[in-house]
Amino acid sequence: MRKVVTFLLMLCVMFSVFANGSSETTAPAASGTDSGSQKGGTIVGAMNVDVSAYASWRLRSGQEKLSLSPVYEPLMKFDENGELQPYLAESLVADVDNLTYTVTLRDDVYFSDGSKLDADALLWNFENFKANSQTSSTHFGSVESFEKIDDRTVVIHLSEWNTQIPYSLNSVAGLMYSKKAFDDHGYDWCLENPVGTGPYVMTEYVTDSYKRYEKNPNYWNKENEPYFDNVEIRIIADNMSAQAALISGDIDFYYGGDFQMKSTLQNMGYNLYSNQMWYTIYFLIFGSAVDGSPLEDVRVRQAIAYAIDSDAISKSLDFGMSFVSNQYAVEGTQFYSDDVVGYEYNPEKAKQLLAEAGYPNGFSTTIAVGVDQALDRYMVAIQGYLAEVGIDVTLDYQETAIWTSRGIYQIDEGMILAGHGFGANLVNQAVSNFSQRAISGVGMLKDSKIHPDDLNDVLMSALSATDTEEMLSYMHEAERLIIDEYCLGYPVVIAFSTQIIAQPDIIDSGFVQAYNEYMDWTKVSRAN
Amino acid sequence: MTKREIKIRSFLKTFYSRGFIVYASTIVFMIFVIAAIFAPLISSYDPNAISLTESLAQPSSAHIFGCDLHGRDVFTRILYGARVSLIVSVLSCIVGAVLGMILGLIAGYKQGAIGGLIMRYVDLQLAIPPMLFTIIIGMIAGHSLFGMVFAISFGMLPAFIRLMYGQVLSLKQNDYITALKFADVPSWKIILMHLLPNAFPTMLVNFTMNLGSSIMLESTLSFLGIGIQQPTASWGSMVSDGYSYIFLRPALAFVPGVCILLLVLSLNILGDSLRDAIDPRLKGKL
Repeated sequence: MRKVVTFLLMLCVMFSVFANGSSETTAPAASGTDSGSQKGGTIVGAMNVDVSAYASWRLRSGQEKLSLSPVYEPLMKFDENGELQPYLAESLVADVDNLTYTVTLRDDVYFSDGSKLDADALLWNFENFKANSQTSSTHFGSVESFEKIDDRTVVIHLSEWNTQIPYSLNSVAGLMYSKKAFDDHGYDWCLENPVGTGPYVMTEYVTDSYKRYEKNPNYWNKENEPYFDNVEIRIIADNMSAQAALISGDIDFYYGGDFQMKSTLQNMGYNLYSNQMWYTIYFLIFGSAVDGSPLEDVRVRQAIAYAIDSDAISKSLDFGMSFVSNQYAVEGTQFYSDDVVGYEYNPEKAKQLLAEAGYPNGFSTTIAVGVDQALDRYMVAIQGYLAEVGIDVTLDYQETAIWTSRGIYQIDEGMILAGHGFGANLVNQAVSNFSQRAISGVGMLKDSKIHPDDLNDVLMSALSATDTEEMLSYMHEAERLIIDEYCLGYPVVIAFSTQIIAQPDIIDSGFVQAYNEYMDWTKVSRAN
Repeated sequence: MTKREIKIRSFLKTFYSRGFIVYASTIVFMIFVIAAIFAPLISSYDPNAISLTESLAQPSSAHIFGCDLHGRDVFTRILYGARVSLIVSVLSCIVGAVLGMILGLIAGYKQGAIGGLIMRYVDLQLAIPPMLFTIIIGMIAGHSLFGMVFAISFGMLPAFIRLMYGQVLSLKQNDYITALKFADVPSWKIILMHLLPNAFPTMLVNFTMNLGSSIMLESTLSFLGIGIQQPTASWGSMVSDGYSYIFLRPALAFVPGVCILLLVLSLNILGDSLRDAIDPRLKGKL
């Protein structure tokens, strides 16, 4: 018997020795940024919903940015100090007097199909984006034409000055798609097959299941090779399943999830990485196309703003992971205006304003929200706060198909709650949402009657300002008009729009945690 | 002891013949009924009033099951949620049973083109998965209480129609029905005075059995977010809301889930017992 026990013990010791030895040799070594790191392997990410677009000019959602950023790269990129620098472009020269931007390309950039990024490809990308992108009016609304100068240079001609073009070239308008792929296969093929200059090529995807990528053999940026050989992005719609997948080690990071999940995992030692430039503002938009609607009266709109306690919402519903701003900008950023007073929670003041507006007993209205927006917690809280001042709110959850087919922000009466991304291109966003351009574009308040002339003038002046200081002074005035003067909406809370919760050994040295709208897959690695 | 009293005692004896589990089910069912009726007296909290300072509050003497994310008292919402569950289930079963019995009676007695039409409709509806059918009708009918009643009762129609149809076909074979026909008794009289009363006990058992199913359906629809509109408390939506906090505050999902389980279980057992009492020959059979 003793012999048997001794033999079993020896077996266990040998097994554990070999097991340890094996883990030492197969475990990925230090980060790609650290010396002595061992590159390779696969990084497995997951996100909550699948994407519907693969062509560069059609990308809009955060999930599309995450899953197509291994493939596409922008013309401009933010450096580690938050300064915009040429990336695929060699230079970008602004000429205010002649209303032009001149883009000169690097000479060494190739697409994954082997074709070169030259002026012809750039010109085609720009013209295709202007003609076919849903966000064309946001990014290229003031562009008159494009002109090829030589093999590496394209000039953008503007109808009016636009300070936002460099930011647009960091965004979807600056992502480059292979012209050769388009010429060889046609438009429809391109919609489902991404071909870019990025560090990876997408090799396989199964809708609502996964996407797989391999290193791009033709990647032009030899100084910045990615750490991982392969990337896999899975779709895990359910937060609890995603949490379980992270805890069990099935995935390396998750894009999505609610604040409770992030808070729990962060407390367990998982890393929460946030983009420092891009935010989502949860904005309660007052829209009314009906004469005599209570919401036509600015006092009613202000009463609603006073009735909502954003501090409590941030602290309780978002576990302190969102923050509050009194305007359509983040405090501490250049767009934030100290002149905006905003609406501190004051239900008594709300009741007083309602009485002054002729609604002492409140009224009934609706808040519309897309059912897939996952904003239920805010909706219920707002409904509860407004009930306290006598406003009876019906929550109108719209199915995704209806929500999008109606033009997302088209409502006839009532309010909309929408999570709205903004960042470096805040001027573009404000113009698209609050100027009179919104009527013909895809911005919020599209069908609203509330499009004041003075706000429109200020926003258009900000867009065509010739220097940053001038642009900011107009934007600060626009913030005051949007919030204090007209109360076109109420900023419920603001949150980082791009966040991943990652395994403790995943190191983000500029992957998500940077200023760029699109992730940099050469800046993620695994620690020892 | 009168004949009537003897009949009642015999009924109750058979009803409770399964012993403790039927007594327990009766008590559980009565507790939920009393909770639903007297909810405002049992709890002083407003089930829909938010209080974010008490968000996810732990169970305490003030809040025996704690508070949900919006600081609403979970116990109060359970009480008011019982109202929703019971009203939806009883109303939808009544609507489904009445319509189903009428259509089943017509189809079974008349047969021919009308009967064929009704029964082909039943076949058509049964070809669609019941949950999918109810979800679609629910989305069309809206997120109100009556929208739910409409959707669930519509979903139950085929079962009631088919059962009634079968009962009528069977009863029609009896000599007394043939005699009534020969005696030129009007059809409506035969239907209302003879067929309906004779088929009623079986329909009553089916009605009771369906109460539990309709509670499950209502909870499922609310869990999926297409049930009763927020902020109205509903057990299904409470499970759905609490599910996200299962590790942090398990009671949020667990308590309404247990309530659904207990009420559905008690109704099913009571339905079985009712069947035993009405037709003891079927005792213990499905």
